[in-house]
Amino acid sequence: MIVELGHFALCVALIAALVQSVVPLMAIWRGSASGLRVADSAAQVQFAGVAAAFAALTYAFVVSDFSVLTVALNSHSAKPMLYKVTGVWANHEGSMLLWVLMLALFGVMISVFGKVIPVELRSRVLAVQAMIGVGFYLFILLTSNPFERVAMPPLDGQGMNPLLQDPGVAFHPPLLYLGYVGFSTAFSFAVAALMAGRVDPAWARWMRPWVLLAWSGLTAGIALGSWWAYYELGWGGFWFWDPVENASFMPWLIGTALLHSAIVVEKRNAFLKWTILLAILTFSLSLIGTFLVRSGILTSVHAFATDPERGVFILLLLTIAIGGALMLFAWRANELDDGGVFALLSREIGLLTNNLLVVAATGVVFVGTMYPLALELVTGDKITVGAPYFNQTFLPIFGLAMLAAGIGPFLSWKRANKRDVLRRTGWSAGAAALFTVAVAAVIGVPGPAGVFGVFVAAFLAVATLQDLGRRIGIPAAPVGTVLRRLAGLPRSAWGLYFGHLGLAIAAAGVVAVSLWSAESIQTVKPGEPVSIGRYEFTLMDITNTQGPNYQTSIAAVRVSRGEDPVTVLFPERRWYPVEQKPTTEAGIETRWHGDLYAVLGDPDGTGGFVTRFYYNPGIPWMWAGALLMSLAALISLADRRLRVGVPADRRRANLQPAE
Amino acid sequence: MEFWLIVTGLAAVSGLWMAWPYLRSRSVEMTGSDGAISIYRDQIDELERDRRAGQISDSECEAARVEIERRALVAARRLDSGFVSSQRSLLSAAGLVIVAGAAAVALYSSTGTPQQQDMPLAARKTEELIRRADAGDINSRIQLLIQQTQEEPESFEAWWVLARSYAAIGDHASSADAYRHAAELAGDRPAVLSAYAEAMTLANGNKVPSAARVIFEQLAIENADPRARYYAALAKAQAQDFQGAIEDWALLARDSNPQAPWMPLVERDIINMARFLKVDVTAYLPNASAEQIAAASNTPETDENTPTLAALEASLEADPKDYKGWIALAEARSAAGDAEGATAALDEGRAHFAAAPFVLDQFAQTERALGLDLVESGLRGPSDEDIAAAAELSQTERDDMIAGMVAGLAARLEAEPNDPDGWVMLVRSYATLGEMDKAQDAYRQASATFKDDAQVLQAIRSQTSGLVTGN
Repeated sequence: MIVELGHFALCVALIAALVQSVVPLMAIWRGSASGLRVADSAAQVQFAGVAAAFAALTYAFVVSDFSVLTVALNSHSAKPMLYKVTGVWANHEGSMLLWVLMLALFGVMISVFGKVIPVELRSRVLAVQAMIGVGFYLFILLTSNPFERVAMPPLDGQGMNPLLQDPGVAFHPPLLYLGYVGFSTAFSFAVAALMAGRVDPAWARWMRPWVLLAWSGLTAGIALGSWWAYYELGWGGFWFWDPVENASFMPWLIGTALLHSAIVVEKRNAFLKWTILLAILTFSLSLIGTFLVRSGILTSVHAFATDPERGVFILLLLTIAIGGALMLFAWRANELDDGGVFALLSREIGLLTNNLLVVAATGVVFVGTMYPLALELVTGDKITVGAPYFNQTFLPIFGLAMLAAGIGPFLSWKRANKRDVLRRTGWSAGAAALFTVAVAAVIGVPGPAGVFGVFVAAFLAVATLQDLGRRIGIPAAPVGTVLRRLAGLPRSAWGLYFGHLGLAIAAAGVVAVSLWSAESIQTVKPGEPVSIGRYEFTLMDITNTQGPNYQTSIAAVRVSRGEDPVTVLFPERRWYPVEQKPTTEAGIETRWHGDLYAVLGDPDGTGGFVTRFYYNPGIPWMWAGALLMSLAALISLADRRLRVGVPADRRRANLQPAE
Repeated sequence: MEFWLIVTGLAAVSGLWMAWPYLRSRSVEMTGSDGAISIYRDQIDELERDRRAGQISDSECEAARVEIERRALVAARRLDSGFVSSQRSLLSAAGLVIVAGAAAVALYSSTGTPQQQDMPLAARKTEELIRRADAGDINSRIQLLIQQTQEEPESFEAWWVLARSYAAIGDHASSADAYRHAAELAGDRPAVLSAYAEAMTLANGNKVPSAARVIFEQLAIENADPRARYYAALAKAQAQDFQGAIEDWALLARDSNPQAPWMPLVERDIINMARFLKVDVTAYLPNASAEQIAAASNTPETDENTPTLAALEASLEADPKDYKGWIALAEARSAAGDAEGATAALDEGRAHFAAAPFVLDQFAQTERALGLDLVESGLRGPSDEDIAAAAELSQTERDDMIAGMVAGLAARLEAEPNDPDGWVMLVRSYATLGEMDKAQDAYRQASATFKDDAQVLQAIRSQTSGLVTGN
């Protein structure tokens, strides 16, 4: 009965979404305040319904109810409990349910925490949000119903892709969806503004927290996915420019632009149309990502099912949502008046430059991702657009964007002091160049691209730190003043510094691992040492043992440097009998400067094993940098002025002495 | 029905929750807001803060302030409009509840399968086990009983039935464990205690362990429980007190109804013991039949068909793959009062038939029939070690072991010839070992066995084609 009640709850959620999308708009037209409020109550019912449905599906997975088709196809009674629970969203139907759960979660958060947003705007936003929801609920109920039953349940399920049987599956999809789906709020705000024909700085302020939350989740989700691929796939790489990766990267890039342009709207009442367009495009790219991953156009670990019917349905949703929003934009955008006058050299222009660069970078990734698909559709030719394309097109543009991110904070709003900006830029560039030369001299940097990379990362870090220093009065002000200013910095400023520093650190990691990683693939017998850079890897012995639902061979690989033992790595090769699939688990030791990484391959039949050994410098910096960026968004979100309850806090804030 | 009640209830609650705004009393909502204005106030605060921190000059601050104020004025112009009033509207509320509720129920009815129950694996496992147990599968029955003892660990009945079921499949160790739980729950019920002690004894290879012996002796004294008396005597015999054992058995036999189910066992043991002690069996078994007296007497049998000991030993030397020979030797030695010699004969036979369960079973039956298991011999216990040792055997030893297995198969087929696959395997095995005569012989025997069944004959013929002549 629980399963069927879950199914019913999902139906309730769809009906609530319909109510939420129709009643408030009618109420605006007829001027009924009660009707506007229905947007809130319907959002709450919608969330309760989809949460109950999700809980029921989770129950079915936990108790291995194989009369539910999704459970029978994707679970197995011998799986550890963690993977029974995470298995809920590690399949097509369940992950779509997670998608709408996130959507409803954002809706209910807007209805509960967004009381400060004027009721008309809020009900418009919730109505648009619910329209997206209606589309996806229909998609789920009509083409991918997670509650489909089988009359004669099998004795056991078919298991779960072993690659997904990893703690990473507990965090990567929910965080990624937090991002993907969170951008729907930006979309809803944008469409609501177009419908109302009015945008003001308050609009940007109300929208920005949701975008920050989504962006933070997406950043962490992408980083986790990359980390997962890094240790689970055992290729020693972390980013493969795979279309599925790009599908999550494009919303991130353009979401980054949105985050910045919304600041201009809030501070300067400028770039209104541009910001609305970015909001629409960001969520559109999320939808395109969902389409690419879910339609079965791409075959990958993410494409749980390939079913043309589903692809067509999502394509239809995509067309209605994106097409409708863009048409609305074309129709209504002219009625929005951009305010704010600014000079050519100003923070506004800096942010615009950055926006354009990031959007160009997104375009490059978009072309690289979609061109092979379009070509295959038109001519039937299969081509792969791989790393060389992206390295040659995306990286230079993104490098420029990073340079601009370093200079941007030097610019003041409206009109910047040209001499001051040039002086500070020169100073930062000089320091970064010095650092680059030092690195080239000590370690050696192959090629001009490498030099550029080192310089860009160093420049962004130096410029960010320099701006922070200057803001708190270094070197002129006395120590006490410096500390007081440091403590008094608004959280949005910390968001800026942590975010940019995080980017610099992550970039440094990427540059380091691209320039100086050392790897070696060979067949070795236990006891034969292999030299990787300054390290020596020796395969010691192999132990065969049993996991909860797999057999595994664990190798001990001793790493030493000269005479000194460094560590022992334990790469594994697992075999999952239920799914009849092997997986590799890389043995990784993380040091501050990089990772020691070993992968165990097949035995060669004469006592040797195929092994891959790597030294990957900078990898930990990448994760740390991404984490810092994700954290920075949350810090910024905690800024008093951005908190959704701003005006309520105002009176108290005024009583405090100014910081 | 219950399900639809819940569904209807949920639909109603959801509808009411959504319609709540229509049910509240009249209120006025402001649709415009001071949101934009509050932002300009914040910006002015920030300007002030920056000026005080010395980050901008007074003139810059003033210019910015003018700009912000100008925008605030523009924004303020929009504040005028923008009030909406709400009022209670039962009609709208009822409409929303009914339409939304009905739509949800209708949607579910068209996509759901309301009649289907949850089927968690745990529940289905029980279901499946019950089905199999009802069909007579004792292992499924035991699984169910195990579940029952897990659910009701305080139920004597559950443990008792489980213990008896284990005993029925010969798993005496598990049976003893279950009886222990039952005994703990039953207090001092003699029947439970003696069953427990018996299971311990059987699990211990029919040797009464000391813990069981204590129970048996106490029960024998207090309750005159026949089982306890029998095993207490057996314990005496195993502790080398043969006289005490035979006397206790004799008393038990005297006290028991001659038709009692344990009497054959008691009589057999008395007879064996009398022979072993070289005493007159009638002293202990007054009603002994002539046959029994003869079996218990020390006189070697003089049947002319029975080969002499020496002849048996010689023939076994030549062909150790004759399990009946080993049994005959053990019987002959035992009849001659040489219990240890008989045990040795069976042990030697076991060594040759380590991998042939059928023969090992025959040996064990012989051993028990001869009462050899009453005598501690220290050197007993076949197979596990033998089989483990087989892994490290030399080639000749391994061949020897395989030959033993084949001989065991031949022996089994002689006793149970109705096994076409067994015959085919036997013919192939002989052929593989190069013993073509025996292969031919086995084939002939199989053909004779199944001469009335053309289909089986054909199958045997085709599966052994090329190995033997005549097909």
